[in-house]
Amino acid sequence: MRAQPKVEPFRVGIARMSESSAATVGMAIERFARDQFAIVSSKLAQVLIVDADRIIGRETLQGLSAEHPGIPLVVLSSSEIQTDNGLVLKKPVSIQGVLEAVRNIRARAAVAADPAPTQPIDSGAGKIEDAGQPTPAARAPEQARKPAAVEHATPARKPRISREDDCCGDAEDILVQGRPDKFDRARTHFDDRSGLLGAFRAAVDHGRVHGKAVTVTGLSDALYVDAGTAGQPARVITRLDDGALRAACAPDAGTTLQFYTIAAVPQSSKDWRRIGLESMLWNLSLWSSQGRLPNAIDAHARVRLTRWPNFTRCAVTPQALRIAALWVTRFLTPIEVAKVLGVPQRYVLALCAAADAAGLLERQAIAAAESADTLAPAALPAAPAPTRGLFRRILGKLLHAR
Amino acid sequence: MRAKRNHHKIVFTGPVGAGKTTAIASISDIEPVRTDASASDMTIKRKNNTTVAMDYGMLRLPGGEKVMLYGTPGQERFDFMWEILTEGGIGLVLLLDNTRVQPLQDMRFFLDAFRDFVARTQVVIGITHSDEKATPSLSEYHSALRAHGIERPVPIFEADARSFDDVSLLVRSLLHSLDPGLEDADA
Ligand SMILES: Nc1nc2c(ncn2[C@@H]2O[C@H](COP(=O)(O)OP(=O)(O)OP(=O)(O)O)[C@@H](O)[C@H]2O)c(=O)[nH]1
Ligand SMILES: [Mg+2]
Repeated sequence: MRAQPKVEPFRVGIARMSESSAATVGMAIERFARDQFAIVSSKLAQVLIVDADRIIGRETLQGLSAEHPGIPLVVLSSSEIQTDNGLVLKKPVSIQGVLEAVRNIRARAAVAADPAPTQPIDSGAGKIEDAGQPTPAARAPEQARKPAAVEHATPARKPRISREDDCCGDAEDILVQGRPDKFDRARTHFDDRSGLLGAFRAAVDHGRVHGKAVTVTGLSDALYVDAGTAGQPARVITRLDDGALRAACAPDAGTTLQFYTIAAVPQSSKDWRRIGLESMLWNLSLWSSQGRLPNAIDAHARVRLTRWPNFTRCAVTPQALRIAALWVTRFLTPIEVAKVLGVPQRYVLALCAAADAAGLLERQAIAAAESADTLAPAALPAAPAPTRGLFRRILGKLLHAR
Repeated sequence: MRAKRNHHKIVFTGPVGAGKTTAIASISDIEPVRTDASASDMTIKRKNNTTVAMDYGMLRLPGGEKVMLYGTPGQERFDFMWEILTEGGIGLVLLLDNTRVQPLQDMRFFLDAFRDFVARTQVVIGITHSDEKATPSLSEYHSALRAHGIERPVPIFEADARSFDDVSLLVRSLLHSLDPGLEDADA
C-alpha cells in the first residue's frame, strides 16, 4: 500500500443522544475508523452527530445549528425531516451508515477547503471504504453510495418529537385488517430463534435444564446468566451496556455466539450490572424486532398482555404505555391495536415481539377467537374522558421536566 | 366529590419507609412539606394527642394549575383520615418495600384501606428496595392481586423512589390506565 501523509483525524461531536447510543457510536468509531475520526466535545467538533428524536420542548434543529455556527450535522431521525446544514439519516440507521455520512461530510469539507483536490481523500488504513468520489460541492447526494440512507439537504422543518429512543424501525403500515398477508414477510416478521436473542434464549434454557449458570461468548464482553435460587430469581450479569447489547442484536452484527454451563458466575463480576431475565428478553427482542413480529405470531390473531410489563426496567418504546394499557384489558390483533389507538403498526409489532419473548403474551383460545371473529374490536369510548386535557398536561409536564 | 378547580391531587401511600416522601420529592416542583396537626386542616388530632404528619409536594402545570402530591403517614393506625385525603384525587400510587417481612400482606392492607378510592379511580404499584431484595417477584404480586379479588389489570413496576424516571413512569401509567385513549404528550 502506498504510504500516505498522516492526516489529522476529523473531529466528531455527539449531541442530544442517549448515553447508550453515544457509546455505540463511540465504540464504532474506535473500532472501524479510529485513525480517521476522533470524538471530541461539541465545541471542538467539525461535524456533529445529532439524534433529532431527542430534541425536545422548545429546542429545534435550527436552534442547535445556530449554537454551532458553520458546523455541519449528521441528523438521525425516525421521521422524515430535512436540514439545510448536513445530512439526515432515517432510523433505523446502521453504524456503517453513520460512518459513511460522516465521511461524506468530511469529503465535502475537504472539497470546500480545496475545490480542486489533487489527492484522493484519506481513506484511513485501507480497511475502510472511502467516501465516494469527492467532486465539487454541487454533487447531488443521490449519487452517494447508499442513496436510500443519505437524503438531500433542503430547508429544515421542525422534527417530530419523541422522548423515548425509537427502537421500532421505520416500516410503513402494511398489514391490512382481515386480509391474509400478501406482502413480503421479511418486512413484517423476523426470526426470533436466531441472532443474539435466539442464542440467549437457548443459553437460558440450557442453564435451566442443567441447573447451572451459563455464559454466552462471542460478544465484546462477558455475559453470564446465574441459575437463581428460591429467594433470588435468575439474572443476567454483564459489563455490556444497552448500546452494546443493542448493536449485537443488529442482523449484520456478524458475531458467532456460543454458550456453555459454568460452575458459578466468577466473583470478579460482583460489581457488574444485573438485569432481570424478563427485562433482558424484552429488550433483546425489541432490538431484534425493529418493528416486526416474531415468525410464530400471526398479525391477524388476537392476543393480549397477561400483565403490565416492568416498564421501569425495560426499554419503553413510543406509545408503549398506551398500547399496554389497552392490551392488558382485552384480546386484540396487533393490527386492531394500532387501529384503535391510531398509532403506527411498527410500534405495536415491536411491543408485541418484546412481550412475547418476555413471556407476557397470551393467545386467545381458538373457540373464543372464532366466535369473536366477526365482532369489531371494542373501540375506545368515542367521547374523550373529561379529565383528558388535565392528564395530557400532567404527562407533558413529566415528560419535559428533566 | 370534585376537587377544587385547578387543584388536583395524586395520593402516595404505603408502609413506613416504603419511599413515599422520597418519591414525592423526586418529582415535586417544591421542596416537599411535612405538615403537622397544628399547621394544616388536612391533619387530625387523635384523642391521645398524637400528631399525624403528612407530606405533600406539587406539580405546577402551565397556566397556574397545580397537582398536589400527598403522602400518607406511614403509621397504619391513622387510616380513618385517608378517605378525606382521597376526595377528588386522580388516583393512588402504592409503594411497597420489598424488604419488609410480608410485602404481599402490606399490599392487601393498603388496597383494603383505600378500597373505595381505588374502585373509583385506579392504583399503580411501585415495588421499592427491590435492589436489596428481589422477591416477591412482580408475578407474585400480580397473582396475589388476583387472589385478593382484583381482576382489573394494575400496573406494577419495580421502582426506586429516588429515581425521577421511575416515579414519573408510575404516574404516567396511572394516567394511561385511567384513560387508554390518552395520547402521549409527545406524539
Ligand atoms: N435502596 C433503596 N432505597 C430506597 C428505595 N426507595 C427509597 N429508598 C430509601 O428508603 C428510605 C425511606 O424512604 P422514605 O421516603 O423516607 O419513606 P416513607 O415512605 O416516606 O417513610 P415514612 O414517612 O416513615 O412512612 C430513604 O432513605 C430512601 O432513600 C429503593 O428502591 N432502593
Ligand atoms: Mg415519609
